[in-house]
Amino acid sequence: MKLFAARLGLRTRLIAAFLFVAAVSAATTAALTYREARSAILQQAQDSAVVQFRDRVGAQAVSLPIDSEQLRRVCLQLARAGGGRGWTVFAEYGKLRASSSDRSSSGVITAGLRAATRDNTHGSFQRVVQDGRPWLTVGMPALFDRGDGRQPTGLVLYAVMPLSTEEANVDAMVTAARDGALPALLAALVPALLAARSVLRPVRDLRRAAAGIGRGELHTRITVRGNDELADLAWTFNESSTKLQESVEELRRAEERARRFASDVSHELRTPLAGMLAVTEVLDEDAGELRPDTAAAVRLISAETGKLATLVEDLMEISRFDARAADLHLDEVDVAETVRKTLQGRRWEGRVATELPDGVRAVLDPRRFDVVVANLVGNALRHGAEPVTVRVSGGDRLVLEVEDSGPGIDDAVLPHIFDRFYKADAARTRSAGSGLGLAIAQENVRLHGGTVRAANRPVGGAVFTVELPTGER
Amino acid sequence: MRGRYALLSVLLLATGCGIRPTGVVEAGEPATVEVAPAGQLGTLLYFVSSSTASRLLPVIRPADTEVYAVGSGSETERLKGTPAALALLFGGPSRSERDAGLRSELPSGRPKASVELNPQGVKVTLDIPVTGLSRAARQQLICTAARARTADRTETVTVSGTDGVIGPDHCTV
Repeated sequence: MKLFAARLGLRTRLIAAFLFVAAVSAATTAALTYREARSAILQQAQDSAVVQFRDRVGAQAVSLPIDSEQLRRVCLQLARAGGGRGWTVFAEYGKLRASSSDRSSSGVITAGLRAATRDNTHGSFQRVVQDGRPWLTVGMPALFDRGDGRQPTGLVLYAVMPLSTEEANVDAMVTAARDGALPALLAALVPALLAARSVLRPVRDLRRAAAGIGRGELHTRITVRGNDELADLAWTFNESSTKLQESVEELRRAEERARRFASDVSHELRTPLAGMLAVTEVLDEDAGELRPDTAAAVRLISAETGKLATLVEDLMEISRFDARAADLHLDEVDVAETVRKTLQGRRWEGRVATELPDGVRAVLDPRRFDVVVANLVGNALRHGAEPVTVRVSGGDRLVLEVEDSGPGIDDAVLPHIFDRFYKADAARTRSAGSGLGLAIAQENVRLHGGTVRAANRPVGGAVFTVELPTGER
Repeated sequence: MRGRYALLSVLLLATGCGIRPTGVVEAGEPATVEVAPAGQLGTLLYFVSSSTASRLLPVIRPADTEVYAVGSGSETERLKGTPAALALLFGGPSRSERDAGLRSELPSGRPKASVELNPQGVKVTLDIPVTGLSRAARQQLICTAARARTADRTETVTVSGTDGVIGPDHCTV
């Protein structure tokens, strides 16, 4: 049953339930009506037959003893008097037998009816079905009264009539009941469909709205119709999605505030840092003339100020990505040349092996691509070990691989390698990088519509693979 | 679900289709017919129907047969009323009555009978032994005598014979 219910839709089940109820009530009504009407028809037929037969017999006059001719005459007279009834009359007197037909005894009259009629001073009837045909048999003893109460004449009369008319009427009722039940079932389909629609429409709306919420359309609401349970459900759904929307907006605002704060802080830091950088450059130049201790301190300050400036620059870059304020200035470039320029600009040509086939061209933002290459190679040089190889291949997509020969990346770290400020080595709290290099590289790749992933090579060392589309975007 | 289907089919089965047979149903009064001759004419005699054991059926002899000869030769008497009816009864069923299967359980013959009416009912005196008569034969006597003497077959009747007395008793027809 559960499987059966699960397989069928709500509409089918509703319609089935309606039809079942309609069928049961139609069948029950038809059956009860049929039974009552049938017994009424038969009752009426029997009663009128008995009364009529008694009247007709009472109109007869006999002389006692009755001889066989008189017996036969009585039978014929009664049969004629039956009129439309069409009964066959059988008579018994002593051992004499007669009938209105050519057979003197009937196969339909049962021994029970004969005994009851002969031994009692009242009429009896019995319905008999013989060979599939229903018959009504009426037994009537004839009495006479000579002023001292009624006494039997010894004459017993039987009427045997076919119930074919009544049977036809009863059959007609069955046909009528069946013909009535079918339209009733068809009529039940209409409210079934209406009810199914009234249930299914809110359900469909709910499903659509829930799907909308799932897609992130938090403003989706349902029109609440009526006052039923489904309306309550729709109302609750609306309430929930309102709350959800409020929460999400609150979260977004909080995130927005946090980003703006980072952006504002880095902006505010930039101006004093610029001043500090200018000062530390001057101090650096003069460091040679200072005492060695002081010179070391000055150089440390200068180096840290430089790192701070890099960090602030990186922070501002990340803020621009978060604010979706990063623009892509596309240009068609020769990839090999661009990569070479990047390495030369950082003075890394000697430390990095390259596999740069000529003629690979791609449409990309040269500045951002430079940042990507520089960050990946710098990361490889800092955290991996030389030799570091940069490999470029063209085709449908531009593929850039940066390999190092270091210990590789720990499996636990691998999923978080592009997270901001994620320290691969928890013990090493300070590093040369800002901690944002890989995150910025990833943001730049995404901006190009490409992907970047990190993996460990089977022979040892890490490999970072960037895939970029080469064509126009 | 199964239960509901079962209920439905039971309901349909209980209703049934078509016309079903019945047992024997009592259907009120019997028919009352006229018997000839009309009125109080004729003499009612009770004989036994051989088709049903010890059941009496009445027959009516025409009124003019009440004049009947009893005895032999010069002693011929003309009997009237009850003795005549009893003489007819002892005479046995006629041919047409025998054809209908009627018979008498009384001994055939012409016993001398006298009938008188007293407050206790009808008293019939016969010159034959009566205590050996069958129940049907006694009823034949009683019903016929009561009917002939008082026109009421339910009257109490006492029959005396040479060997004893029957009754007082009633006609059970």
